[in-house]
Amino acid sequence: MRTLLSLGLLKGVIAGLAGTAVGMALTMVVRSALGYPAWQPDQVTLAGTLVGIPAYLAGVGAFSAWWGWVLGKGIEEPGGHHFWGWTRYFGADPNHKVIGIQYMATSLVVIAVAGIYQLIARLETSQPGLQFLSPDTYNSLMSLHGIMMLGAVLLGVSGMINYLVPLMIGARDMAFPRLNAFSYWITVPAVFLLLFALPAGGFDTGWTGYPPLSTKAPLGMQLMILAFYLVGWSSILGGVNFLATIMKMRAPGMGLFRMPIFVWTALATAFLQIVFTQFVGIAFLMVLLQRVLGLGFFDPAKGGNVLLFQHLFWLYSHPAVYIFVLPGLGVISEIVPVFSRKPLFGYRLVALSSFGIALQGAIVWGHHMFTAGIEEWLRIPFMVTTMLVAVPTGVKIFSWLATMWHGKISLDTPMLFALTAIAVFLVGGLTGIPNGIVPTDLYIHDTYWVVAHFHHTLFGGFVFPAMAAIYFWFPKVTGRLLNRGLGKLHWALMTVGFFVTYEPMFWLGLNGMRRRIADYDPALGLGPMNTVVSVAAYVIALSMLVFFVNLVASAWRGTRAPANPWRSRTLEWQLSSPPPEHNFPTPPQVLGSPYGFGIPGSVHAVVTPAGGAGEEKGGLGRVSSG
Amino acid sequence: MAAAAKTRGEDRVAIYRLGLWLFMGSESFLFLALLFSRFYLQGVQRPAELNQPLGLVISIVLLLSSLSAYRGETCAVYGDQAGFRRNILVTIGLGFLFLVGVGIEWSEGFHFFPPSTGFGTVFFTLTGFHAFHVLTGVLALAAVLVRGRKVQYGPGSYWAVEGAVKYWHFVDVAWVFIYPTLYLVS
Amino acid sequence: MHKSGMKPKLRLGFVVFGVLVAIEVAEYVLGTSIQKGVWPFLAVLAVIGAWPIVNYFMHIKQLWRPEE
Repeated sequence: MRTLLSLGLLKGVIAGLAGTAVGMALTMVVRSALGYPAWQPDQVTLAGTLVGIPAYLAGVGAFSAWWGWVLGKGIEEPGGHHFWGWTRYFGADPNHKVIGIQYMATSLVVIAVAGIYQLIARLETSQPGLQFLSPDTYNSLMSLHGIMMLGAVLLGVSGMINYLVPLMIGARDMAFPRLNAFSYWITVPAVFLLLFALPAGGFDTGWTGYPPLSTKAPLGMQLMILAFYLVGWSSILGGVNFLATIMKMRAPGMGLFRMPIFVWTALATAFLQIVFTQFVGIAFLMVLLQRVLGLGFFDPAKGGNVLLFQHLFWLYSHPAVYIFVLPGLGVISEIVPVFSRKPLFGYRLVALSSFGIALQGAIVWGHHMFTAGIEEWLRIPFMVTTMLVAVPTGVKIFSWLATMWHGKISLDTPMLFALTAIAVFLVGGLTGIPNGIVPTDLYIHDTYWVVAHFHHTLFGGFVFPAMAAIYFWFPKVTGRLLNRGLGKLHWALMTVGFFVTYEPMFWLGLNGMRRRIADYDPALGLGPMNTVVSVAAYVIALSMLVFFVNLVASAWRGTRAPANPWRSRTLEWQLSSPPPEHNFPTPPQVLGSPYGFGIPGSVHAVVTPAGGAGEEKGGLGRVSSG
Repeated sequence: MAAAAKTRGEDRVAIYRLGLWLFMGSESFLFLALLFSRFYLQGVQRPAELNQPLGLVISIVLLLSSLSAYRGETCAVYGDQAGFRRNILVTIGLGFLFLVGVGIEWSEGFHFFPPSTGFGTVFFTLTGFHAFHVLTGVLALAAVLVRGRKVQYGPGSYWAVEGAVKYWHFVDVAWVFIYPTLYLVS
Repeated sequence: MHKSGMKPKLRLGFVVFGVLVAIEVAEYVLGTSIQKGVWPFLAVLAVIGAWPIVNYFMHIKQLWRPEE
């Protein structure tokens, strides 16, 4: 019981709930004192969260070190206590490995909830006619599925970068460990807000939250906006941290062009995060201000314009797609050379292609608005810039293919997921072309074609690579191997389930199936195909169930993992599994490329093992090739 | 922490500095988005009732506060504790004076162009966001002052002052762009 | 670090402040006297006004030359 009460999470939740109650009560008192009715849902809940979230953060302990600093106390070394108990994961801990695991676990929980929402909604659309959901509930479930999945992807991206980047560049931790803990802990109230959104009336706008609908939607909309804002700030502060870490904390000899590709993609991702997240933050704040205070951003009667929201929203949300997929593509670039035993093809171009994608992603947002009534002359420039994104993306695809060419490929679980990811991402890219070309987009906009397209890009760019990453790095993180048989079963079910779910959606879209609808005309003849899609969606869910069983069982009872089970060359594999508290006791000396597989005499780095073992064994551990 | 950093040859102040610049860079995109919204929604329209002289006065107050912040930082760099304390106190006072000016402007604004009108929407949002940043800047300066009661700033140990003052200057730079956008274009 | 280095730096602050006020007043005069098409001039003046703050007050050069 005492352990339970000492958990930062529990203290935070209690403080947060108390703070929320105080904030709401105060607002209601002020409102009735001014002669208004005490209850106004938008204002009262906003005031509640404005008090509740800082109270929660104080309860978790995210502020305590900073507060001590203001009072002139010294700051102790982050993670000074060498303690690996489970309670550590439920409080504000500054160690990047703890935070990485916290992010990833939260991400998986959110993915599970958002998946269940869509499984319910999918039952409704498997037949024409309204079966058991009202259109409003259907829209709420579908909207929450979208926004929660995207939030989960952001958390997963932060998790992978947090855990891997400091290890890969030979750093002892992130540049700002406490800020890092803060960035994680502000996402937890966001998850709670999203969970409350459904009981609070949901919202029927889709994940995009376009006004004017979002300015009139139920209270759930406001909770979603606040959650989005918190995750956005987590993303910005995380981006600052990643950039500072990669630019300033690299081990001696780790030049920019000796970094693993995953670090390059993290760099490009962080750049996108700090530049563009502000735009969507302000767009949603404008909706909030209009809802709560009656400002006129999106009300034409008050001099507003709804297109302003779409510009600001897509100015973030298109680059956000690259925030979601770039780290995933980086994971593929890490895994393919290891399982092909060959150097990564075209390392420099692949490294720079991430920045090509990031910069080009910044100037294509208008292609989401071809049907929204933007100026005619803007259409062609946006169409051309959109087509150009194919160039840096193509660089990556061809690099993977050329890396595998004549390689000694071993089809272990991570490699299987990486291969599926490449195939799925390719289909996602190719089916994006009709969306980017104005005449075809006018026809397929807002149909299931679009739904199928972006699920291909997100599954190919995030979900399959993230699964590959978990199967690849799980031994490093936990010190135990994942069960191979269950892993391959997961892969087979998920791959088959994915293709049977999403390929028919292209056909459905072309034949008139609109997105975000609970019901459709039986005369369209789309019923049978929709049933197939629904059944296959449950196969994906089944594969995830296998995955979760595998995760828990293997973490508990799995075979002990050696330090480097895949014979990889990057720095994290040269440490014990799991790695020591402060990673490298002395900074590793980086001497060459991380991908010199099969090149005689190629050395990535010289690492001194932990605990001064180097002296006993009479030398330094050299990372050999092959 | 300092010891571990030293063995690894890290320059912590350089890392802090980079982090703060990245954060301010990100914040500048927030203001960029707000300035873009002003032109997108309202073009270069400006109501005749806007108090242009008051705008000039509060701009100069803010510039003056940047001067005193700079002086406070310079004193801290050379270890002059009294000069540092005096100048930072002046900066905080000028910050509050600026907020009072914005308050006067707001009470006039509520009368002539309330927040539910086109110009009012962008005016109150832009000045409101900026005033919020001024307030956080004041808090940062106050935190540095409080810390200064226990810790002696001096050569090689003035990062706290430098950081807070940099943020204060950033808020000033944001106003250099907001002021003409709201008060002078037509 | 000897305190004699402090004086010239404090003096520099006043010079920068003077320049900034001059630019601000120039903007004001332009904005109140010209009725149409003044925004390009104001934009240029704002950039000219931001530069001394970023350079002299915020020491942006320390990012790539830490020795200053």
